[in-house]
Amino acid sequence: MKAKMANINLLPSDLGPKASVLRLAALLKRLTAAALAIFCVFSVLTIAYVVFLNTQIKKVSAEGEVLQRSIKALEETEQKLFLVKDRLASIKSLTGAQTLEAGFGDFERILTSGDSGVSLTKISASPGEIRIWGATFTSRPLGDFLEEVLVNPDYKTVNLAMFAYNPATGYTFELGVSTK
Amino acid sequence: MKKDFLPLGVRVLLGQVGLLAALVLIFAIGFKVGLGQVGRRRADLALLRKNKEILTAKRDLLTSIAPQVASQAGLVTAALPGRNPALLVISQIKKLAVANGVVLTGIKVGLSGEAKSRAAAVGVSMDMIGPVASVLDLVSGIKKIAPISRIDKVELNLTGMDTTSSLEVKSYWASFPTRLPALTEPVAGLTKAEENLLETLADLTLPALVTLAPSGPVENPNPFGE
Repeated sequence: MKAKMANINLLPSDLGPKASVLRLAALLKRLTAAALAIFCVFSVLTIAYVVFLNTQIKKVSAEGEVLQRSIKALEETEQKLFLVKDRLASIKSLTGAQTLEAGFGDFERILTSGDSGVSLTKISASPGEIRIWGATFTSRPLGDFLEEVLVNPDYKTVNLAMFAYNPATGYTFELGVSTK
Repeated sequence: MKKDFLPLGVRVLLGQVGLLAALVLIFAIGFKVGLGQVGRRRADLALLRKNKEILTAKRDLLTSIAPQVASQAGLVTAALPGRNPALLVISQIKKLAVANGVVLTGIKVGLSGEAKSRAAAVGVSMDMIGPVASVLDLVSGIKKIAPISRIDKVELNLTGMDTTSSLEVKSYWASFPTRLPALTEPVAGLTKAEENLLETLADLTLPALVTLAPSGPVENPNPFGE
């Protein structure tokens, strides 16, 4: 068994540092050792984490390159999809353009209205407007025709642009119908 | 005897404090550098992962739409060509006229300038001779032809057996896109509205384009004969 040696200091006590200073120095020494240990642990952990992140970056980069090659092979499909979307956007912008289709279906209705005795001589239609020229010998068919035109909910305004009577040819008229 | 400038207690403490201060300084620098490296790599990794997600979604989408996108591209290109479609429109209207027994005369083409949209427009006008019902059928058929055409003006002169009519049609085209989005840019599939629009376009009558195959040389056994 090892005998514990006594801590003998033969120097006069006033020559050495004070006990409180020695205690403080010992505390600082322990703090330094602890800080060094923490620093070492932190450094090791940080380096390990950086290595792990580098590995992950390489792995994800490689996967990304594989995906990019796959997409490059599908480039034609991508171009076609882009073209389809571009064309559809342009076509959609055209749907706002004013067209005649909405009012055009009424042509047939107007023509059949003329069967009631009114002779239609000319019909002109452009977006939002239809102009009708006609003639009749008696006023009754003209009244029926006008009534049919007036009750049509698609016609916003009906304007009698011209109305004339000649004993030889009868009544002639021109109607301007607005569909907007 | 040389007298020390600093007392012994201070000298003892100064060594320890200096060592600790140096360690703290190294720790601070190491902490900053280490965290900086980690932060940079984490940001790089996050960006790479995001790009990977975009690329995966893009690859999956392109793989899934590949079978049908070719026919869709053909349809939309026929509906809205990349060049002036005047000849195609005239051809389509002529086919309608033949089908309805209407005679077309005085066909004229004139640029209508830029339409108030992404597309440009061309005007085609013509005179028509034929029965009223046939002319009306022809005019109704125009909205079902590709390239997309709209009736600008129609005038029917109803004196006589056959109607003499004039028709003005506007047809549209738009230049093809010249730039593809970047490889890592996300790509979206067709929306519901776009799919509905495609379904509407599918009802259009496409122009019949004939591709003539080049014929090879033919051997003439008697070049001087009849």
